[in-house]
Amino acid sequence: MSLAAEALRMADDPPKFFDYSNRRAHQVPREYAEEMQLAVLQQRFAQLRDRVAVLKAAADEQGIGHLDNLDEGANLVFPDSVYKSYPVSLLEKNRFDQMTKWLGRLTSTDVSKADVRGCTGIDSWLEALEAATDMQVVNSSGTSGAMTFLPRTRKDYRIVSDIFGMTSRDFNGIESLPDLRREPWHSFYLGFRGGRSHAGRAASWVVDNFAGSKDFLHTLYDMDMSSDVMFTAARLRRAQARGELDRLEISPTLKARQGEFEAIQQSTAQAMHRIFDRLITLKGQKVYIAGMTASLTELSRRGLERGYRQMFGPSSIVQCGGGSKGGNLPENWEELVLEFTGARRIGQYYGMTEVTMITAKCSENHYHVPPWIVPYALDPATGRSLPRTGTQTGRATFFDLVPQTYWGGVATGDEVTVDWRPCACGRTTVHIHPAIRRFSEKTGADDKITCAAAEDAHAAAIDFLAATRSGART
Amino acid sequence: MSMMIAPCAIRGRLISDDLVIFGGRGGAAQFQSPDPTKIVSRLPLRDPGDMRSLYALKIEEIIDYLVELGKALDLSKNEFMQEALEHSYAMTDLTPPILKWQYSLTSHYLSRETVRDFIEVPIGIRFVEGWQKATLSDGRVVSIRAMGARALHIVAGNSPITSIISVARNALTRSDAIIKSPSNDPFTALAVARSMIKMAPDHPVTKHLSVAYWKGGTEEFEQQLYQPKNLEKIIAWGGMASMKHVSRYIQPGLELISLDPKRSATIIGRETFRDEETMRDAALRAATDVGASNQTGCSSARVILAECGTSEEGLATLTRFGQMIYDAMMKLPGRLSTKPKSIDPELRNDIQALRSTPDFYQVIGGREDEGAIIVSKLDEAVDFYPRLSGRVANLVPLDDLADATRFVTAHTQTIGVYPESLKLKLRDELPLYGAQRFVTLGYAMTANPGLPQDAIEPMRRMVKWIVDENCPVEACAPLWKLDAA
Repeated sequence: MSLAAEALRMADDPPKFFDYSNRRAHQVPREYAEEMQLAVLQQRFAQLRDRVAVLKAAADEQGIGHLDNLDEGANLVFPDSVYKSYPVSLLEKNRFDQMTKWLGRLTSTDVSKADVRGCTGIDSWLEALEAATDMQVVNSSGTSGAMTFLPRTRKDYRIVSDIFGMTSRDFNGIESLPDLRREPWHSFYLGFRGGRSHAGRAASWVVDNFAGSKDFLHTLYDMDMSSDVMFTAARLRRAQARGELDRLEISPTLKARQGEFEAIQQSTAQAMHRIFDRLITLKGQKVYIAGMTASLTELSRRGLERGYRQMFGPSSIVQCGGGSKGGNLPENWEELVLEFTGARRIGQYYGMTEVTMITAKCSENHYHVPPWIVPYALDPATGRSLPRTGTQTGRATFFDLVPQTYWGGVATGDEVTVDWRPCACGRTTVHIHPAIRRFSEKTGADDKITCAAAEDAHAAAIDFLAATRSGART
Repeated sequence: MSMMIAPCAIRGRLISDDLVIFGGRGGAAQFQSPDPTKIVSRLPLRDPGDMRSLYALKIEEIIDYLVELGKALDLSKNEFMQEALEHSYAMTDLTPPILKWQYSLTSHYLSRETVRDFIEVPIGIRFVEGWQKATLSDGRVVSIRAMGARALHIVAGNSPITSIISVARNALTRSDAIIKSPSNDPFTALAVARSMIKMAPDHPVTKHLSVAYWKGGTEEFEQQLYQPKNLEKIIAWGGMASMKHVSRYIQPGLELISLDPKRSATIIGRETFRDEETMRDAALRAATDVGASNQTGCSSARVILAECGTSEEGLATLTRFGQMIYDAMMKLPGRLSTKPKSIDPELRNDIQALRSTPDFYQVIGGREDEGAIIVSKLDEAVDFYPRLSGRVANLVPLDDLADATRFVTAHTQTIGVYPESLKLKLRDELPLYGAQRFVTLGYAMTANPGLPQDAIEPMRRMVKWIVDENCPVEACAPLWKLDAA
């Protein structure tokens, strides 16, 4: 098989290519990996250049007809804000015909087949797109009120789910053998049971990789994360920050659901009891737990108070993230969780909505970038790529080789240090140092809800929406 | 090159001991200044009675002092100002030609007529000079006088003029000021203080000005200084974070005069688009409101509302108008506007993203970070409008000016208006939503410190209004003799 054919096979389905083993993925010799990356980059460019309108415009403007090397890939990356460059009023006014047209410029998928005339909100719009196309559009939690919409496909998401499983197992020292995936784990996801953001989709990845079926999955909220609620959460934050809270109007679709939100609010408290009661029956069993830090801490504290310690042993997996919900997180929350669960450590991952990468820290505390992603560090002052050698600090930028319907090059809002030198952990892949921060944090203007905090924001919006019925606002 | 030093000036004395290093804003140059913890006990005016010396002066004498100071600050002769200007290039967000021009404006701001306006317009000299008598309908005869206070001025660093204004306001109200220099302008207020010491070392006005630098948010230091026993007022210009920070020290006896972070807009009426010549005139004026001082002011135009309609024809006109503004902005004189010193990389990304959305936006210019006009095709500002900076404005089409209220909030300060007659329609309505200042298009970035600012009158707030009530028994019915009925 030629190198190009092998490379395309890798990018077409990286987890399958690497036998669902993160270790294998990170053992490809660097030079060979880069040759494969260039072959895929060139193929993707040839495939999408004239089929993705935004890419065509950018390539035409710069007169780029061919990419000769990986460095040139950095000249054709989109800022992540491209995926939220629509006027926000289109969402507020349910102009989903226009939104569809906007999204259509970002993908080679024919979106014109989708009938979005009757859509009354983001949830119903994304549903209509899914019904008519192969797309599984993901939305972000909403930075400063505008939501990112990334036109992924069903297959892209199957790959993301597999990568999630590979990384989770690898981080916990579990080799990914195919039969391991078949054995159901008792799984607890302290969040929502579904949804279209990463936080919402994560529950299904837990099912795919650990629970095996919904029978073994317990979630804190007995509902899907609603993209409309998330949008409201983001608008709430934005309106508060801008002193425009008095102008915020709640859509009729959400108002109609207020009774449901109140019920959810009430049932969540009971869900904590239900989950706790179930957890304590599982001593010594293989358990997977993930979700909001505050909820996990609360469960652990409750358990320890009643004398439950070291419950599930070192082969259990515990992952969490997210805000402290009002800042009530005890300083020793990590100790509490480890003591209660008996897990060896708590997963810390780096990834983002726009890139097919979920990467865990290695023994040297580095986040390794898998071979299907080409990392760049852009000079924040000029927007140009820094040399891909040694260590470079700049704007985290990636070319994701997985997508075949949208352009994989994206410049993020993170400041990172990318390290092209070999890592003492033995992996061959390029890595990122653990100190990662948002550029907007540097300028003091950050209002990003991180992926992990999305659940908190969503929960807060439900509280807000539930309260609006009794409040003065009509 | 040795590191720049910003000594502190405390009531006529210069202190340059115990220097420590401070970093400039956003990774800018560093400088040395006295350790704040070593000067904190010396900063406040311990005995308020020491302000008595200011009352031995007539206002005319204080005006004379300020006018003389204005002459002494002449950049061509004053070595402190020359040094401060040189040092400031590394700290400021402005480019050298703009900063140099602003330094040259000090004599204008301290001219006799202007200085008189500073006090005469908002308060009236007679109220500062002595007791003003009035007889009220209940028979009491009152005397009212505006007296000075011990104040901390947290000045803004986006223009050196704010320091000049603060010095003048302090002197004219017979107050005692501690100026906290901003990190992006640690030298200007200090140069003024040094010039005062050189000019008149023992003058009461010199003796009631202190200038120091500490990093805003240094809690232990601030906790010690920001106490009612040391200060009666804090006059704070500034960003949202620093404002929120300062407000926590406010307590009974310590008042905050807040010149909040603000944003400004422009409203251009439909008459403008009837002929080419009027459009060009408006475009030059709008370009001035956007470009002056490289859009670093709270009065700088950012969102420009144009009543040209959202029809295809309206949008074509708007795009032409956007190009005119851009062209005019590129031709503004260098003392007023240049290619910005730097651009917020997030903003650059956001602008680049809009280029991918031609259905909704058109971006004119901006490829070299020189500034840009973003033309919205819907009647909506870009989502990131609070971050518009570096000569980037957003032109938004409106079908009807009644929609303008959507763009006015509690954070809105100046609204530049064209044509002039349009103001009469707007000025009774928009303040309900937050607008504070209406100004002829093209003049947004000119200021007269005699006028209200941010919808308050800072000078009237800076003074203490003291009243002496005389109640003659024969005119004012005594309480002790009133019938029970």
